[in-house]
Amino acid sequence: MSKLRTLLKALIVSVKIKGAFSMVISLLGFAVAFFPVIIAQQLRALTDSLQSLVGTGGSAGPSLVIFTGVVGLYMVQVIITNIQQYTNGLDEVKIQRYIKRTIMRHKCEVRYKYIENYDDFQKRLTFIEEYAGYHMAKCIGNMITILQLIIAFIVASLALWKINPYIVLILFVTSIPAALLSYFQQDETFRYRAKWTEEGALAIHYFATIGGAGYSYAGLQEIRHFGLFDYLKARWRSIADEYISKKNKIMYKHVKFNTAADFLRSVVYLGILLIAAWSIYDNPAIGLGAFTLVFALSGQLQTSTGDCLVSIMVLAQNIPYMKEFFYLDDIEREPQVGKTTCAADGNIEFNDVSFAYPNTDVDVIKNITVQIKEGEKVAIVGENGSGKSTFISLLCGMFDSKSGRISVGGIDIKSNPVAARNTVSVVFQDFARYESSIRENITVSDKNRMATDEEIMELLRKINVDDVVKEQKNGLHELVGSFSEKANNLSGGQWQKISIARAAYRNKAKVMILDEPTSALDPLAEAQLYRNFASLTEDKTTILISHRLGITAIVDRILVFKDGRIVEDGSHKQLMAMNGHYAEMYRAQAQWYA
Amino acid sequence: MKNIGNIDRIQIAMQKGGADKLPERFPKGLEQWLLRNVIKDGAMLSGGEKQRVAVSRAHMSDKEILIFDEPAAALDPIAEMKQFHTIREKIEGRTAILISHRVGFARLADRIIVLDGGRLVENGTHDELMALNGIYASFFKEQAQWYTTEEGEAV
Repeated sequence: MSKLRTLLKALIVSVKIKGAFSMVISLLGFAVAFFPVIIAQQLRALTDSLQSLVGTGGSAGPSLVIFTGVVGLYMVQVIITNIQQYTNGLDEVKIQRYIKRTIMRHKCEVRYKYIENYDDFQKRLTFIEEYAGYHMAKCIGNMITILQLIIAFIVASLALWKINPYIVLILFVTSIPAALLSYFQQDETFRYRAKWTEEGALAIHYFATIGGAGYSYAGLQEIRHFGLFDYLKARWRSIADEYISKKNKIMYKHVKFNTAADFLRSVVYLGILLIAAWSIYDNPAIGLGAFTLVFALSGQLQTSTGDCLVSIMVLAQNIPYMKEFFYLDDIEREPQVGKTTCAADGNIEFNDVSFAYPNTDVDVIKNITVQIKEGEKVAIVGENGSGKSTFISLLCGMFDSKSGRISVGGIDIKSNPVAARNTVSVVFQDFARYESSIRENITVSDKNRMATDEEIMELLRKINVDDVVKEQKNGLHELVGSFSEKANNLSGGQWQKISIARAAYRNKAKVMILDEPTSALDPLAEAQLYRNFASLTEDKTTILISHRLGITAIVDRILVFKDGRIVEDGSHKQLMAMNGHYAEMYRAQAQWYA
Repeated sequence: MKNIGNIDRIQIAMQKGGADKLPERFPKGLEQWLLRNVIKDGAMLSGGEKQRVAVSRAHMSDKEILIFDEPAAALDPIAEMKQFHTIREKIEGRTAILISHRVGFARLADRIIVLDGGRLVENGTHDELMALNGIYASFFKEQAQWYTTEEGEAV
């Protein structure tokens, strides 16, 4: 039943994607399905007419008329068939684009745990990207063709049945082994590919690490320095070699069987011609034209029966690919509501929140309960792996907490992550670098805000990062990124300043999160940023993650994370007086500046 | 590369890089695959953990010159302190070049080089450069001020 549902979904997609022109051509294609039989019948009539000429020596006129008709039919058939091939090609591209679009949309809308490989999502996505999408495009394009093939099969069978029913029966029965063979071969290929997806993903990863175009250049210097090319190439090769050798073995096996199947097909064809000759010999009244009809049609029927059976089986067999693709529709997406909503205040509340990453059972956040009031400036400090960044991810609605409730400005994050995010502006530790102008790199954070260049420059001056723009010849409109014309790649510090400006540009936000916002800045730039901390964060609730404990003194309140819990909570003064974990960490750093 | 299977050497390098506790987190220990985005059972490391692994990698080699580019940028204060101390202690007579925005640690070095606009502008020990009162001194004071407010002296 679920197979039927999948097929129906695929058919709906195929019709939705087709344009009006392609639709008309498809309908004409149904008419063309009758052409082989009509042409064969005309050829039969032509043969009979020519035969009568031989005996009586009458006018050649009727034969010429039939001949002209056959030529006309051939021309129409050729034209429509070719146009249909063209529109099928167009449709296939459209379907592939639809599949790409769908994959991209899902990557951005699924619950974030899937991105962290919940339910083996990455493997399934790789499989869909590499194979399922392609097969689905082929299948959807084929659905209409299969219906046309079935019609062609039925009319051809009826025409031949009249000459000799055995012809149809023999043709049909002998087509089955070839069709089965073709089906099992495709099935074998499918299972082989599915099995190899994981290893394949690894091979692609190795290839990208060495420096595939379009991937990040991170680590390239290191690979060159340590001379790791041969090592990585060997890892890539061992996977790729095994893949290819197994694939070649399967291909070789298929070639052997296919040769045998082709041989059988030829023998059957010749046998059928023999039956037709015998039928005429047995009953000369059916005329010599019957032989022409069988000669023209049985080859076609043989092909169309095989094609028809194979197509149906392939379609049935490709249902897993399509099912895998439609799996994307079934996984939980973030509710796409509240795109224009923003919370009324900047209060943050964590109520008994626990969290473990997908595929793991260790809680990295343990029963955290904390309230952060609107406008409060809070710093989060703690050792590596203590849960700081996970806390931020939870606050940004990336993950569902295992238990407990998180809200921003009264908006529940789980049920309305989009609106909650509208309320929060963030400088991520791994901030993005967009291949575009500096202006766009800043303004992407608020698509609804229309700011002039002057307003943006004013903002940059206010938060003291305007030097990045001043250094560029085209100012805000300078193209940046590794793909830009002059490969004007900014330094890490410059990019970080842009990411801070991006967060500040989102002026409707009530909360601002800064995760190590100065890690790539030099001491002077860092000091400048913190001196202007008030103009950067304004009256927004602010959460600052930093390992630079001297700086945390500028905030109202410090939360100390340890092993997934908040172990200390208070002002710098209070925590120093407490002489606990914070004081220990503070002293460790301060001694260098004594 | 020639020591890729040398467990003893790996363990020593991991101690130096501060990653020695890391394999305890995984049932497969050292053999744990990373990269969860490629492999289902792969582990995901935090920014600081990745940095510890990277620094351990540098300690694997027996080359004469070691270069550390911001080896503690993602580390917490205690780990950062250990990281710098280990580098100082474990280089065992080899040459080490350390690039850092954390100016306080520069005094661990025998010599500090200040670059500005592609030129070498200051060159000397911590005390010499502080006396010079140039760029290094201004960097140092910028960072030091955060630790001298209120109870900053409580060291």
